[in-house]
Amino acid sequence: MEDDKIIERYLNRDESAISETRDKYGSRLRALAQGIVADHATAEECENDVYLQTWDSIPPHEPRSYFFAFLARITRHIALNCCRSRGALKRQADIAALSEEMEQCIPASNDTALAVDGILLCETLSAFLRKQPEEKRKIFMRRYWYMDSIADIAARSGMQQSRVKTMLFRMRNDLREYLTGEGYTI
Amino acid sequence: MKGNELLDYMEHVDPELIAEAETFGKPKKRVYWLRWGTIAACFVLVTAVVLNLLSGVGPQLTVFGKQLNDEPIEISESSGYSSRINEAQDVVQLAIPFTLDVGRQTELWVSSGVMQVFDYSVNTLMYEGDRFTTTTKVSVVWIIETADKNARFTMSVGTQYRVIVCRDAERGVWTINKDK
Repeated sequence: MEDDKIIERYLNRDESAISETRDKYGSRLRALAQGIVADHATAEECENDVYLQTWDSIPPHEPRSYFFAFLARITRHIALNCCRSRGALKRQADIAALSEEMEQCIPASNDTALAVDGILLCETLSAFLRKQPEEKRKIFMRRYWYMDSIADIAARSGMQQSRVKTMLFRMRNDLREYLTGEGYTI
Repeated sequence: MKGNELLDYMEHVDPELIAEAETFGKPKKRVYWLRWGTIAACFVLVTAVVLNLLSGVGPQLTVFGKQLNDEPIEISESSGYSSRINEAQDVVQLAIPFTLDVGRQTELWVSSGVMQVFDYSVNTLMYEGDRFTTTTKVSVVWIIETADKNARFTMSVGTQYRVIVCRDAERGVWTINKDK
């Protein structure tokens, strides 16, 4: 079923929208959650929570043209929270490592925490990524959005792990300079 | 801002970038049987080619829609094929159409009569005579005229085999067959 029709069902409060969503995107969302939490049962829990949250979010949202990205965003959010809240999950250390890597992108870091509009920041981030070559952009997204391990990215891209690490290191530096140039001093 | 907050903010990047990265180089599963399967398939292919060459099958000749082999095929107008038999009192005229599919350069020559060779795809006359070399699939009409009903005519197809046209005296019909 087309995304547009599924969204219509959500808007009409037709519960079949959930089963249609599960049929069309369930395996991809589960794979995404599995990639983040690295635990099959938790990934299934996350997937079910995604349907619930999607039901609560449409309306007011109407993600007709980006339904998968909308679902993926919710999945990532839920899975990431799971990793942080459940100490038993092995991925907790990986998430901490990813946070440290992201910290390197933040320009002129100091102790003064200023409020930053996250949405605006992400627009800047999106603009930065769109300026990157396709492969670099995808690798950055796989690492910091899908939270793939370096080994997985190397397998996907056919590159050596060391090359992936170097590429990401340079991109983080470039991003920091870009954010500085855009006036972000956080 | 901390790194974990930026990691969270990443959530809001352009949906197009999210969708684009989702299909980026799916992890390659190692399919061990594929490597051995490929090797086995190559071995079978090489063996088949070698056996084919050794057996001397070579060019494929089709007469009246049938693959020509050792078994004589009757040449008759009544069989519905386009061959012509003009068996007057003294002269026999045979026009035998066939197609020849060759995998490599092959020379055809006939002991008697002439060959009209046509391009197979566009059906235009390319050659008329008793000796022709081709590297592609061609249509040929072999025209024989003879006053000798006991004559035997041959066409050599490369060095692989000969085609024999002769009269079966018992049945009173002309036949064609392959003779290695």
